[in-house]
Amino acid sequence: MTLASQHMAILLVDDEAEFAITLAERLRLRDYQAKAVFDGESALAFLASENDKGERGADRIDLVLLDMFLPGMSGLEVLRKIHAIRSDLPVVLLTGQTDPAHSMEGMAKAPIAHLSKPLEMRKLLALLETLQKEKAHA
Amino acid sequence: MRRRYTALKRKIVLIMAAAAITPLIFLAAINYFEFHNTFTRETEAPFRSLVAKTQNSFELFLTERSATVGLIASIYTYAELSNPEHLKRIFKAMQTEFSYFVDIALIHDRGKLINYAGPFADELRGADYSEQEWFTQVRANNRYVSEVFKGVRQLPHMVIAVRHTSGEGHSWIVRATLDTSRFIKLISGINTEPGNDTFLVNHDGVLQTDSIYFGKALEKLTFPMPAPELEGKVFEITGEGGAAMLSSFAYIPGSNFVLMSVKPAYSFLQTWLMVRTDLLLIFLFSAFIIYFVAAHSVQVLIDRLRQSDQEREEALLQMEHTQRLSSIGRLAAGVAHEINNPLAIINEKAGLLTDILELERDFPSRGQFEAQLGSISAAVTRCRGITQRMLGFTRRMNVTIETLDINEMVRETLTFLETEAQHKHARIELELDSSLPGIRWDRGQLQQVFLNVLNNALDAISEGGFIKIQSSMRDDATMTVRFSDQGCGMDEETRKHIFEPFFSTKQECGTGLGLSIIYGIVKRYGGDIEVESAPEQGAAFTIVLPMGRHETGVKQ
Repeated sequence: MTLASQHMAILLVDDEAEFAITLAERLRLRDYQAKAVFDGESALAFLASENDKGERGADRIDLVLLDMFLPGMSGLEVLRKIHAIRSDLPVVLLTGQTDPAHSMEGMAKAPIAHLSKPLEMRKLLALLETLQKEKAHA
Repeated sequence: MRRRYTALKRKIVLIMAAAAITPLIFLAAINYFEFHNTFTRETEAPFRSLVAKTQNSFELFLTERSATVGLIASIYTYAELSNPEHLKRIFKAMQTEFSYFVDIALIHDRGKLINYAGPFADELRGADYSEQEWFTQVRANNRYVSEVFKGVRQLPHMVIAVRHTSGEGHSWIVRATLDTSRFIKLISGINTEPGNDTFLVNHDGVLQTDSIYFGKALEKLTFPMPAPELEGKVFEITGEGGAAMLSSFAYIPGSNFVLMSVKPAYSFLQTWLMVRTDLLLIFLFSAFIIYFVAAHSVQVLIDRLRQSDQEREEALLQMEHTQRLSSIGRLAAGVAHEINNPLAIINEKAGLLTDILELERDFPSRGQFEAQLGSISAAVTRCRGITQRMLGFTRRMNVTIETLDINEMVRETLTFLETEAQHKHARIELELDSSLPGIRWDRGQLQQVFLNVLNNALDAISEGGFIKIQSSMRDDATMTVRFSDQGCGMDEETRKHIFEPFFSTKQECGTGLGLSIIYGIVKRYGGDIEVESAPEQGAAFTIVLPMGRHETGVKQ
């Protein structure tokens, strides 16, 4: 197993392209695989095609960073559809608020975390590390 | 405001009272007139019949006397009448058969007294009546009934004269004098009712007989003669000393006499006064009851009205305020979200630059770059703080009941006002009961309450002033948080009004809504705010919080 393959593959969904691309680049600098898409449809299409290919292991998306405010399909809708495709996929919701609606808790089987924008890299990295450890244990 | 309600109350009471009392007044008036009419009718009928009866008697009296004189003039010849002895005999017979005759005289058609029988034979001897008024009249009309006059004896009497013309065309006149004191007796004999006064007057209003109320015979009446149209009717006159009297009269045909009867109206008045007093009492009593009921029910009505007006006003204010706050909140949230996105980009770009800088170990001016990027990051962090607060404000708009630690809430509120407190060098002492249980309230609203009271305390104290905050249990179901300051305090008048909307002592600085809103909030939770204060003695606001009672009527 290479170091790269040990690192997680992350899908970034945010309509602010500049933000998504820059964050992806920063994650790549930290040896994560990162792909940026700019709307919910593209994200779902990507995850669906990945499923169809039946890809396993290293290339598969391990985490989605999802902006709550997306044009067209809303963040929550995308979240529901993501879990329809892969119910075990962890999602980190990016919101404006520090502690967003608790109503979503228990909605999904997969772990959901919240981070507020602007992101604090420190917190994101800590979260990623936690997930990585969980993945390693699994 | 209060004046408006008072005016409204007065208006309604007046209208109600007027509506109720007007029919009462009508009733009283109708009653009065009915009574008056009935009474007058009942008084008039016997009175009128009395006058008619008297008139008949008097007419009969006069007719009899003048027929007697006429008979004497016609059945005896001039020669017989000229004979003194003969005349004396006739006179004697007259006196016996018909009373009231004083004398009898035969007068020549030219006016000379021919013969006389009676008490004044000497005085009248040789008298000539040709120039006298009555003589002219009897010559013209063959019959004459004089008015009453005072004769030689200074006694009122009257004269009946009849002219007779014989078959041969020879004329003579027989004149008889009547003692009026006699027919006064006749007339007064008819006066059955005490207080009645019946008398004769001539057409000019000169009394012909004595009257009880208007003087002796030949005096003039004190009131003008009534118009002839009133004959037979009962009408009111003003007697001596302004006393009201009822009067009726009748003309005696063939004479210059008017028979008049008068009686005091007091009997009617007395009866009416008695009835009127009863009526008046009933009227006053009813009026009082109507007024009392009207005033009382209107008071209840007005109180309700005022209360509901007040409640509505308060609710409106509260709503307005909430709406304003929530629109401000929405605006703030929108702005925060909008700013967050570019801020996130700046953050990532600066982060990426830092990342690159980390990789490029030998980058020139590295230190300088790092410092600049650090500044950008710090600025982003500051902005994040601002947007987070803005979003936090919005969140507080939504009422969420949760279990709160009162002491923690107090401390949290204090942090909001830290800068101001420091600025004023205020000393704030906390005396919090750590054993307090949690309380079910909305965090934002409780914070608003504390913030407001604390803010007022900070405003009230002077430089370096002292504020004490105490929390404790009052009883099993309520806890209190007491904010006391040693500020300027307030007088009784101010204290009474501080919870009223728009009441402010801060001149331009306040809207006067703060305390009214938080009072509304606390009241809605079933709590209360107690105020103790005196001028220059500081103030203490005790917020009484019932525990675990869910707020009603607020969307969650």
